[in-house]
Amino acid sequence: MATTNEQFFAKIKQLLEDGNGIDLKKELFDETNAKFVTSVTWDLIPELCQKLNDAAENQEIFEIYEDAIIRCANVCNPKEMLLALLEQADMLTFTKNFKALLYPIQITLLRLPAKRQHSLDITLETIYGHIKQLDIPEDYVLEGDEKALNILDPNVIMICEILDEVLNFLKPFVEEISEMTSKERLENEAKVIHTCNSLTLFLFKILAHPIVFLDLTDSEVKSQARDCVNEIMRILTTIQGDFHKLVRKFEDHNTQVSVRRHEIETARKDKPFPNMEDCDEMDDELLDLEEQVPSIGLACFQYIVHGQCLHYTNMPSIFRPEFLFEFNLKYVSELLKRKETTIIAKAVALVKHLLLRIDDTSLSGLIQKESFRGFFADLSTIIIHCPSKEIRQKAVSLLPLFLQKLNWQGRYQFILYSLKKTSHVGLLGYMTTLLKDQINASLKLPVQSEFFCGPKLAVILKFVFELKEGVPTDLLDQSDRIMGALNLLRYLIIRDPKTKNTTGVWDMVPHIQDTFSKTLRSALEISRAHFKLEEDRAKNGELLQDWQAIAEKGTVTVGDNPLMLPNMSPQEQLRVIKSAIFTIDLMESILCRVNEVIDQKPIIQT
Amino acid sequence: MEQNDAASGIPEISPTEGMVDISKAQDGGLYKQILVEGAGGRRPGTGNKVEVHYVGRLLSGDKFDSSRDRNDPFVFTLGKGQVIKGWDEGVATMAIGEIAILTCRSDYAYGASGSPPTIPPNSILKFEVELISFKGDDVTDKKDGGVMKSTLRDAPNREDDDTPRMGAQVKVKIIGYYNDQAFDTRELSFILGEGSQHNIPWGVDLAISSMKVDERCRVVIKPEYGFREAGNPEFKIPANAELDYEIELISMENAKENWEMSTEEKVQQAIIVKEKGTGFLKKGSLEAAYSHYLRVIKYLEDESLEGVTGDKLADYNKTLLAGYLNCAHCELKFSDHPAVLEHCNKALDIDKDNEKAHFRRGEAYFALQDYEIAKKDYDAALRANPSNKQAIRKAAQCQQHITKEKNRQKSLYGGMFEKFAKKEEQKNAALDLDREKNCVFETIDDWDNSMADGMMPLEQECAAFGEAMPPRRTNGNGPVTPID
Repeated sequence: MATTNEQFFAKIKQLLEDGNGIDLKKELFDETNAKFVTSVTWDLIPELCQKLNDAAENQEIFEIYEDAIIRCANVCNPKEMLLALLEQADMLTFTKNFKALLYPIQITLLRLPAKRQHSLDITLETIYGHIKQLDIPEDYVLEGDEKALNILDPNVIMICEILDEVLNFLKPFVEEISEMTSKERLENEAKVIHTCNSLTLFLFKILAHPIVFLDLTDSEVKSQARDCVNEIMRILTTIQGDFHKLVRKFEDHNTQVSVRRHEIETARKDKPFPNMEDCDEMDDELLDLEEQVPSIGLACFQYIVHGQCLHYTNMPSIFRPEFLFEFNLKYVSELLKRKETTIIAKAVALVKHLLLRIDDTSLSGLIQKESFRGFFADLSTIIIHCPSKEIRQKAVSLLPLFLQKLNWQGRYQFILYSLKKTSHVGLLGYMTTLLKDQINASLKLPVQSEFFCGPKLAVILKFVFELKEGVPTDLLDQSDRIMGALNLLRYLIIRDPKTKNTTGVWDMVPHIQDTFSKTLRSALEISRAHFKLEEDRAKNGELLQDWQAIAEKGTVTVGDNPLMLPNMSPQEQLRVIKSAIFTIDLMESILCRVNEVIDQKPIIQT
Repeated sequence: MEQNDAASGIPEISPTEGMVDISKAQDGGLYKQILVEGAGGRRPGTGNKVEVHYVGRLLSGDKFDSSRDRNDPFVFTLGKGQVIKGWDEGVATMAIGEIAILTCRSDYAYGASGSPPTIPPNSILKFEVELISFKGDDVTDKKDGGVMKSTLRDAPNREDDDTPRMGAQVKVKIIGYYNDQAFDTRELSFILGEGSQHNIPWGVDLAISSMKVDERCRVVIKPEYGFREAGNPEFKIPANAELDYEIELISMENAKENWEMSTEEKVQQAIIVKEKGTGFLKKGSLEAAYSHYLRVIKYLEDESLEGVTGDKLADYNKTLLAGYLNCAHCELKFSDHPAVLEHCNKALDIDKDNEKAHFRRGEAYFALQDYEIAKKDYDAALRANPSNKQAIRKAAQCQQHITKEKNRQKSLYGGMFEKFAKKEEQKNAALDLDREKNCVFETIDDWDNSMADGMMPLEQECAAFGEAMPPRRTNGNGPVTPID
């Protein structure tokens, strides 16, 4: 029987060295030893944690040490115990061991009701230190049903397991608040607010890393990631009020912190010869600044609240959907700017759901706003460069949906803006098609929109029917745009005959023929001659060397991966040239048809 | 495609006793029934920050939303389209303390789309609303409460609901009040952002930029957005006076939007704006000058220069470069050093050897106490113009700081046993310093020790570049560097 602390600790140490778990437990759980256990906390905990670490592979022994630590958590001075545990937790890598420490930490914290706030803060900081280091899942660019495979990624499994434990760890602290009567709440107001804020910041940091990297889309498959998010949202609903107000509060907070940081730094500059103490003081001030809420965490939160067809009682149903759309554009841009497809997909889903809530023709004046222009630039980048075809398509499909929600002036401005801002020919061609749809919709109105006829329409048409580079235009490179333009012209002059001229397009026809049709005709002739020549050379095998030279020199970038031009066989070369000639033929035939209609005498029309 | 026919098929409200149609259009879309009368008096106006408690119900009586359940009052800006139309119009009729039921037809609420999953399409909604408080709208960029606006009369709804941007031609009626005494009653036209030319304080320019045509408002302007410490003798306004203005925007003509212009047009515009900015700088209206220079950049930055060559390209680069440099100049004055760095970097992208860009970036680094980097910039400025005296002087000061810092580090980290050695070193360092000083005196004849206490005043820097700024008569520290 030990009589002093030293004797007791020596005995325990011996038992640990011998690996005698059974006796160890007996000693620790012996009520008469409780005072010794308490006295040697500082020395005991590191030893136990070391053993726990070593026993990671052996479940039976592992549990013995786990129980031993839990026993300590229940009897030791909670303040000392917490510091000892957090110190150990800091040193551990994120494995089973860290999870094993969460429960004793929780027990210890619960034994500290009076001075909980600060203790909880440092605990959450330690825990987040580990969460931050969790590897994010690899971006496999999965599409469609393949996305179900995301949950098999070992990193995803690890993240979900850890988060599950961590969220369980938070439960009693959340319950403590939710079970308070309003009188108790009022009495402890400062404390409650502090705890709520700490927990909320912690959860937003988890949203920023790793949640935002996980696929959260609703599917048949049970998803642990979704379960985690549901739990996070449940906690936030319990401890916070109005969600919109919360986001606004965080935005203000972030601005204030930036301003304050700027002030401190400016103050520092104003002292030309600072001594070391001044510097330290200012460094402390900088360190004392409250943490900013990660904006990607806010963006992820907005996706969860608005990007799915879910209802959260803490999100007020008073806002105009047009306002929510505009308000969230900055978060959409934040998400769109990332390269991970799981994050980009969230942005696209968020925009779509925000748009779906808006009534048709009710958005206005957006193009004047910088946030919107930024969003359009980011969206264009996704449409053109995103490696996932599914996301590209979804992003493209946002454009007509968006136009539908704009009022006529907005549609006009948006189309004009996008035609001027975009240099990608594919997107330009698509915007021209959307322009055609808008003119068509406007023609169906009882009274035509002033924006899609007459002088206003003429401004757009001048843009569409322009060949900047004149006759030397690379027709194949520009084919999407030119085909779009030709289709639009054909549609206009057939749908709106010369005798009616509702859109006023016929007043533009001489101009279009001058700047567009004639130039295009010459360009077509030259291109055709060129490819005929190439065709002959390919047939004779002369091209092969030229192309090889190009292939050796040049690389073509598709998405992020540089691709070498493949060496082409003469047959393949011929096929490429034939397809070029086909495109030229197609353009020419539409151009002929257009000229035919234009040249028709009004009498022939029926 | 879409058909927006509000008249057909949407359920109408059938009013019961006590319900009054309060819709502006008087179209039966919004009814109010007062349950508890408020304190009377003022009602909130457009732009006011309003705080309410509410419970929202469908006609069936099902509750879909309640701020009371959250125990968290709902806050929004009135009349700005943040909330459903029924609220923007309805809450504006309420007094503080009033509790009323607002019944909104679907076109005053969530329309044909509804708000899935809780509010079905075309639903009539009933809100029990209590107005708790409201306050003015902060129209400053910094949100520092320097210009608080309350709308007295809303602008009518128009398809084209632009607000004037800086540079727009505006026609306004203004009444300026100081201590409730009107001191300036005028109707005038001017270019927004150039108010100071017409004895109009910057806060009024800011307020107008948030207004729509036919809107009337009242703003409370803090001195830093008013006539500042100078006051205004013509209006007999003393220093640091808080002002009130009543403003009505009669008409406005916005300049073309950036994307509506060709590169050439943009360059032309930018040159005009730049020259105006310089005019303001000469008069000492730094904010106005800065806002002009920022516009120069905004006109030209991110321009696709496809097909722009020769003289046109040179004009473009020259103007944009001037924009960056002048912005940096103002930012130095504001001590916004990160912005100085950013703009100088962009200027150097255009002209990597630019003297002013290197010098101003040097000044920013100097202020940020990055002396080694600052010195590199001063040296670069000197390579561009070896006779820039300010640069020579600042480069020498940097060298002093660098040496000093080295010595200080040595003295801090030197070990106990090196104490003697350290003292010896210090002696040597002091000698070095002296030598360096002497070397400085060799190149500059009017060296003044107080120069080392901080940055040189901007006017002197301007003088160094031969820029037009009113020369300062005295700086209290001795003779001013002659302008060369």
